[in-house]
Amino acid sequence: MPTRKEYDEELKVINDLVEAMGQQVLLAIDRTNVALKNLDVVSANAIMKNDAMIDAMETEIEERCIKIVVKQQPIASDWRKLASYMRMIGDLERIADNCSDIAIYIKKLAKLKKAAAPSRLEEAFSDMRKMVADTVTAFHNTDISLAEEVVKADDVIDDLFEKNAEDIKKGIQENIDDLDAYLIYLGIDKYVERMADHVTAVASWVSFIAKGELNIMFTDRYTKESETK
Amino acid sequence: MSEKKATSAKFYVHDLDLFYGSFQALKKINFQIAANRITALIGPSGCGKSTFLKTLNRMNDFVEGCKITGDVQLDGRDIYTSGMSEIELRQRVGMVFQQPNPFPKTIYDNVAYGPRIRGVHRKSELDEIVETSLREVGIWDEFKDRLNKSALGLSGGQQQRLCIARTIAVHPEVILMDEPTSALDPISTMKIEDLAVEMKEKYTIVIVTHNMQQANRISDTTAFFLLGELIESGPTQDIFLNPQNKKTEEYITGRFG
Ligand SMILES: Nc1ncnc2c1ncn2[C@@H]1O[C@H](COP(=O)(O)OP(=O)(O)OP(=O)(O)O)[C@@H](O)[C@H]1O
Ligand SMILES: [Mg+2]
Repeated sequence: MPTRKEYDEELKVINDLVEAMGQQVLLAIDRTNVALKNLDVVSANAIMKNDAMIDAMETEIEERCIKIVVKQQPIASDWRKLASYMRMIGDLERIADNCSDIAIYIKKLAKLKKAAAPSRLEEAFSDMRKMVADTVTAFHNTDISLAEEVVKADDVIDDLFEKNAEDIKKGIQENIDDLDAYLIYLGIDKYVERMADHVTAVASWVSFIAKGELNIMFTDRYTKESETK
Repeated sequence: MSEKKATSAKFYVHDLDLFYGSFQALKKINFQIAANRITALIGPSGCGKSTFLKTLNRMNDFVEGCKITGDVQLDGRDIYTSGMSEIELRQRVGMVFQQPNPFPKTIYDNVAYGPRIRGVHRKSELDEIVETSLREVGIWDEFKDRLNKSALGLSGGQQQRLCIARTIAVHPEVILMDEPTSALDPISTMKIEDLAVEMKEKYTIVIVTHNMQQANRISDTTAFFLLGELIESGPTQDIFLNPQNKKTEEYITGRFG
């Protein structure tokens, strides 16, 4: 059985790895943003290649969490951290996957005649990026109020997504030749929205770690949708 | 505060102070113990867990120089001042100790001992009490053919269950357990834990334990003591998931001191 000191050190290592994974995901988002603006295929390929590295981080963190849980049976704040890490890394990994999904679309877009990107896509993307950056900061500083702001920001993106979809519909009606490009933009728009959902979940776990109150804000889109006519 | 309390608490403890001579071992303890629940008392060695447990059936009365003030009510009656006899109290509030302590007698006599001194002498009646008590702790089938063998020949885990059977033979309402499994192997420990959980339907159980996993697994309420004070108590899940007091967190995560 590891000593108490080794246990505390291992907890710290896992914590640092989660933060590093968050930073890597943020980096992938930034590269995706630049590649999307420039329809840069080389960069898109690099983003997809890099995904394996983020997957490997997830696996490593997960294995370390499982090991410490089984061997040490942590409780109280130690347990809250580990349980949260195991959920957070899943969502972080999905965000990275979405970057690669967008990278695939970037390659397709690059081959097409250039259609104008939906006007609010960039705004949605940078809002989502800010949510991820704030979540990483909130995690680093155990900042509950910042994490809670991220959770609130999710609604704004959901709204932007709807508006973008409207714009795309209009664009298709006006330039039917650009249909393929517009369908891709619609897909990208959806991915950005999903990324915001994932980071909202991560932010909820950050506040769970600090507060200990299970108030996980999963997207309530389905509830809302189920109540419309 | 000596009026009957409007609460479903089995025990109501108010402003309890306890001194051993000039040393104060319990300080202003306010606590309620819910009926038909398992309450775990945790805390570092010497913090007063056993002392508190013993105030609940006046076992401290045997200790010279022990002085107690405050209220300890059982179902609304103060066990120190209401004139409740010790016989009645100890019948209603039984105790199981850390070291299994069967009498050097047969298995049968160990269980029949309590009922006998309370006036049950008919063989058929005693037989029935012995059987139901042993059944309740899950060792009837194991022991029914050797009831006349000495209890001292049993394993530690068997002895401890026999001691629990002996305790319930007088139909108590509350069972106090002071580290009942700390001298037992993991399998016997598990059996006692399962037994405690089964027993709470009929009894109110208060258990002292140094095993955080045990407190977490089986208790409904956990109370953390430190240097004679009750630092924090509440639903066990809350205490182990999100303790409010930093000292509690430090203690249960093993980072104390
Ligand atoms: N009979 C006694 N006379 C004087 N002091 C006592 C007596 N019994 C206990 N104490 C003191 O009272 C304090 C509380 O003791 P107690 O046995 O209740 O602790 P505990 O929490 O049960 O510890 P442990 O986990 O080691 O069993 C200790 O400082 C102890 O030394
Ligand atoms: Mg003790």
